[in-house]
Amino acid sequence: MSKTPHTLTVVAFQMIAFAAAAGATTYPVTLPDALGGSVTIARRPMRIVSLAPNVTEMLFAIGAGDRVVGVTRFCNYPPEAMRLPKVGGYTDISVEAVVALSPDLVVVSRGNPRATLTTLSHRGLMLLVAINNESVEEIEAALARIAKATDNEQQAAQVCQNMEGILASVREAVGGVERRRRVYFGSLTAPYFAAGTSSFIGRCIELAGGENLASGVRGAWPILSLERIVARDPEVLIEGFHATAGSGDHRAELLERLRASSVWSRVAAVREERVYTMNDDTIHRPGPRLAGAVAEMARLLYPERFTPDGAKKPE
Amino acid sequence: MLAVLAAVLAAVSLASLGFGDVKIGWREIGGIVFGPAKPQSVEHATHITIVREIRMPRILLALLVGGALAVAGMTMQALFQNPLADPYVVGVAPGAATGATLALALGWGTSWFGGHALPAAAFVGSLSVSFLVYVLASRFGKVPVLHLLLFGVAIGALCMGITSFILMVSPNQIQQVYFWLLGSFQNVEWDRVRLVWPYLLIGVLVLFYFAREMDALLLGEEEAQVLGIAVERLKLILLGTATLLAATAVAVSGIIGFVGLIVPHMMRLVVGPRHRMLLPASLLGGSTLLVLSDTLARSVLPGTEIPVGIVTTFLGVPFFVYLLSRKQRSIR
Repeated sequence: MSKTPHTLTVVAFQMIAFAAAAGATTYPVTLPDALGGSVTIARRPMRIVSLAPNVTEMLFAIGAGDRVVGVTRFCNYPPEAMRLPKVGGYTDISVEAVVALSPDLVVVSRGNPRATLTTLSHRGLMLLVAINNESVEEIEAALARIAKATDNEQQAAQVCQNMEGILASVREAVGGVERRRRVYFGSLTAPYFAAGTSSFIGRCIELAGGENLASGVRGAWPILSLERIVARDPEVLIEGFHATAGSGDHRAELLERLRASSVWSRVAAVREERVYTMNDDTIHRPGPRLAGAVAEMARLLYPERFTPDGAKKPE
Repeated sequence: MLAVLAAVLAAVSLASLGFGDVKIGWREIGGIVFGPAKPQSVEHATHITIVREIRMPRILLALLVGGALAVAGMTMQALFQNPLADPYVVGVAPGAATGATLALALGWGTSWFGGHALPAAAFVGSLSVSFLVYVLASRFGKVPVLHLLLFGVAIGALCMGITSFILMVSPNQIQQVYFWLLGSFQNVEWDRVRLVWPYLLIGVLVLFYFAREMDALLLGEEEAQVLGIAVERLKLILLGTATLLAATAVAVSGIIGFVGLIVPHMMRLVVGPRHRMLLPASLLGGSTLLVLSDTLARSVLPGTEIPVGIVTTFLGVPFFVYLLSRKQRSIR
């Protein structure tokens, strides 16, 4: 937890900043745009298009959801978002579909193809980038920036405060662990893609108090060798690609399959039945639900430190 | 020559036991392989698992698959009288891709068939596509190889289109299938080796039985007919057996290119074109190349693995170019 003091400082500053700025946005407002320039928004946007699932979640979380008129086909949360017109996928955005919605603000993400964004900007559309979302700090900064554009700063401050509250309770619960549990987060079928320490999920593992089995291996999502996994002997396994693995009682199936394996059956996590799955959408999506996902991960790692309803166990 | 090739294979396979992400001393490996499996410490127990349950089945399967692919490629080259034929020529690889992708898209869990859902679907896909190609190519009880080749290419392209389309519209993260198709021995355990070795062995033996007939095919189909060979029946047997070998190999290890195409040519340069010699030489050469490639795939980059198909090209192509240019020089 070497990063804790730093995190707290940043959070404190952000809260002060929010408190100071927590009035209504005065338009026109100028913000950095998606293509390295800046965008000046003349009046409160009323027709917003989101080009990424986490952006959609952010827009709804800060109370701008009723002004969202278009989303991607991967935007499945909150449920209201699913009823909105689709403008394509995350990387295969239909320029026509976006233009047809005549948006006055398009909020994009780092993963959207630059060529598409350039075409959109040539159509005179206002593009706002949700900056990098590789850490909790960046998610909060993205929320603040979007809120500045959509005039929802107060709600955004509230969302960040809630996230910080959840993360603080997680820190409190797992802060005093005498030894961090070794956790493998990734694919449980070959190739063994694992969340590296530099990946977004790698940071979540750190926040949840786990020791990442992939530490020391380069890359955001390296393929780990089975030898290394066995030699490091993970105490908790989390299937990171639940959606690939079919439906039904997947966890039981998974455990059964690992037990039948002559290699996996020797791993501590399998012997002690500490094999879990996590909701793909919350953990893979750097958005407002992330703090909840970190809390869920912490509960999987240290169930004895939490009561069944999720609160910290009184000591 | 065959004895030399066999010795090389044995040496490479044994040496391969000593390479991997986790460093284990040679003496300890010797003890684990030849001695009793009684763990003396926690670390030793882990090393026993790594050597006996991870490295040994993996090396053995790479050996089996490499040999099978090379023999299947050699057979296809004889059958099609075309040096560019490879084991996947009648749609085995695209069929496997479509089968595996479809299975994942339909939500067949990776736990189905005891974790063998993907291989099973790939196997069924390969065989159905090959059968379709065969049926399309046959006219009046004859199967012209040119038609086989063309229908194989056409149906293969269709399959790749279908695969890409499924990947595009599927909401799930089934891109995993891409990596699976790149070829890997990472998921190999003894059960998989036990599952496939009989098919591969029988396939290779059947082809060896027809080695002389393959020699005759090289003269041309009509000439083979004159020599008293039932050519159409022979073609069906060769095609069916080689396809079965390739489909089995793809099912357990994904699509590993190059081995089946180049190893037979390498061996022709070494032992000549007679199939009695060429088949066992290809078998040993293919095994050696794949065991060596897989050893490098899992030990070159610390902590991570390279798809084995990449390594086979890195290793095999320079060696092949060397053999070929030496041959050119001697002709001149």
